[in-house]
Amino acid sequence: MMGVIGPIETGDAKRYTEGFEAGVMATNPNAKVSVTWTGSYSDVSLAAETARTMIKAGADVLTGTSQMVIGAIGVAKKEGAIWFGYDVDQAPLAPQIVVSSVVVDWTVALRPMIALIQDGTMGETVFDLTLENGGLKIAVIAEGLVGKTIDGIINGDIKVGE
Amino acid sequence: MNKVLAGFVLVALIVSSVAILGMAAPFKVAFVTPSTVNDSAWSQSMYDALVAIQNEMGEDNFQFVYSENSSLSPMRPRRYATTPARATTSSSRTGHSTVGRWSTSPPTFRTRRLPGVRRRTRSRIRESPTSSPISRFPSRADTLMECWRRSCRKAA
Repeated sequence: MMGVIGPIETGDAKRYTEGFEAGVMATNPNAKVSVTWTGSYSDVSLAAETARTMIKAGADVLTGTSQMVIGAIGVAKKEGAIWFGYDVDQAPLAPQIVVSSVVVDWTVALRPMIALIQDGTMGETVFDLTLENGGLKIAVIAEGLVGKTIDGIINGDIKVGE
Repeated sequence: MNKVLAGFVLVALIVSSVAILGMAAPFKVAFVTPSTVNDSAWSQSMYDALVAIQNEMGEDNFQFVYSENSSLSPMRPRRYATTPARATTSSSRTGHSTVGRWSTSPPTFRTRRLPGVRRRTRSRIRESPTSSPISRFPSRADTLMECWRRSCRKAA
């Protein structure tokens, strides 16, 4: 079971949650994804309590978005649940449990936004952040779970494809 | 809602600064966020982007200020919007005092104190004792300071 802790069902939080769920289902259609919207972007304690409840309910993988997730990461670290980060590379907070992070690079949107405003164009333009244009990146650190797994495959400690 | 509000203030200040000051003036941005700029989440990602843009354009061409933990003060964005050209900031919440002001200002502008508003200074972030993940949680002192600002000493 996987748990997603979101703030409010809108914007990038909604899109990330839907994408995460779609990715899980594409990998394992029998997996269960539990989504909880806390109603707050910044309530750290509420995010922590939500994570605690999800783990008690059987979740062994967690993720989430917005400013509050540091509370959930703390609980996941304490309980040994795996965490997928978002917004910035969150592995330094808990390298033992953070598998990877989606890193959002807002400069991809800010640069053209500033240029348009300086040219006198106000609004009416939507800027997409994607893996293709560099607005989204996947961060994996060597000391983290994925990094160690990759090293394990390379040095033969982990056998694959046999 | 906070994220939407933060984005709105960001764009509004960009537009107002350009419209008022013209092309030669520095591009000015006010960043209002419900957490801290080192929250290891959304606010940090936007802060990092603003710093990157400033490094690219230079501080003479791009300036920004930010206000943290603003979810307790819904009136703060309006204060930003009414003082687009110059801001004097002062804060002792983290044990540091920072005073910043825009490099240009209309001669008739009246200086105002904006509680919690800080000019972006990289050294303050890196040297701040509140930069560790643990200290990102609001402390009792933070709560009391916010209460004091909102004149609710009895509740504290």
